[in-house]
Amino acid sequence: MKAILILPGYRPEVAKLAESAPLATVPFLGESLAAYWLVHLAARGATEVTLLACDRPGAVRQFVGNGARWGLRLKVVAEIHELTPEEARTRHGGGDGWLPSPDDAVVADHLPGLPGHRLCASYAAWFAAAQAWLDRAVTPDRVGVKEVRPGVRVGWRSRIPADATLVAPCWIGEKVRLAPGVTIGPYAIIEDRAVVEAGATVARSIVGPETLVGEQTEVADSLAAGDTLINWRDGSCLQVPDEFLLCPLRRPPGDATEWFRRVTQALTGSTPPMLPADHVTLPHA
Amino acid sequence: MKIEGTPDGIRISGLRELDEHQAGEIIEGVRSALPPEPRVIEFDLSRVATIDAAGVGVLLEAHDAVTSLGAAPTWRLLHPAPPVRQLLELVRLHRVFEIVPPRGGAAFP
Repeated sequence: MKAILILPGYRPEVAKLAESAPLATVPFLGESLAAYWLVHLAARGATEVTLLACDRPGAVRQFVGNGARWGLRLKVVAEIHELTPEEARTRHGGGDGWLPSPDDAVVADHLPGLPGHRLCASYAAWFAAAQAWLDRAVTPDRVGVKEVRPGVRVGWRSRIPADATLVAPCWIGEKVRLAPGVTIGPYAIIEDRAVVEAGATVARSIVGPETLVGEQTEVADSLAAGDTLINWRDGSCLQVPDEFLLCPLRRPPGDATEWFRRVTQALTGSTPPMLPADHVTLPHA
Repeated sequence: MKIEGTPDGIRISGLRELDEHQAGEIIEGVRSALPPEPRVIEFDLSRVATIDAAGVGVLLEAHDAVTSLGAAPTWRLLHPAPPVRQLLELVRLHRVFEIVPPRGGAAFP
């Protein structure tokens, strides 16, 4: 069975989230919007999915690969703008063997089964969707996530000291390190490989992957990723100047990569796709 | 920077940035303008565009300098721009200082 997945394009309301990766591939409870939809479509019987990407299709292609992970055959098609399901059916549909509507052509601007949460509508909507997804995030293809007590989920290889205070609901991803005296929750999500230093508090917030939350800090009502801190209530955004307060644990592509991008852009007039962070090797790493 | 008396205490205004080089000037100014029993000390941060840990240190040094004189006034940070407020909250300064949001929610001009 075939299906079309229309990935969200540029959304000014959540532009900061998409600075380093297309929205569909931004980490979301250890996975991504695209991954959750592919799991959903595979469960509905899809075997072949066409992803329509108008934002950095090269990055999407690298992210999803050939789809073997989901038991799917995937094709990523670059589009100039975000198509509606009707436009997508007209342009890329035809023939037999499609999933029944509406799963035959879906705009991935929400999570499967949560059409009321348009997570790209605002930072607050993104946060609300993440909270609504907490109970569903443990999809059939995921292993290692344990509910250590009601509403407190912890991924594999995470280190949690005995004196950490975990207040439900909260989600602690894989390989997270919490230092003594931290308070996580309520309504907190710590993405994979993040580090929360001693005495810090994270409440009503999402801490992105590979982000360090400094000692004794308080992250509240925020989306924190790298050194970027977004208040999801009012949309204000801060680049934290002091690394000991909030910073990325992995540096973005260094000068050489940036230089290559700029030269390529100057020569060809196009922007080469950015590599996902996992594919970047740092000289000092 | 301007330090003026208010009916309850003092207000420090005209700050465009806060860094460690200003700490001495601010603390001296606050000490010299301090009434015998100050009830409120206000920092007008409406013109401060950014702040970092050094700026936070200036505020805390001023706080400690006044506290060391035996005074226990209410401390207010007036009208910080949203990113400034975010940093103040990240370092929990809102537990020490009362933060008064911009009038009408207006952003930094």
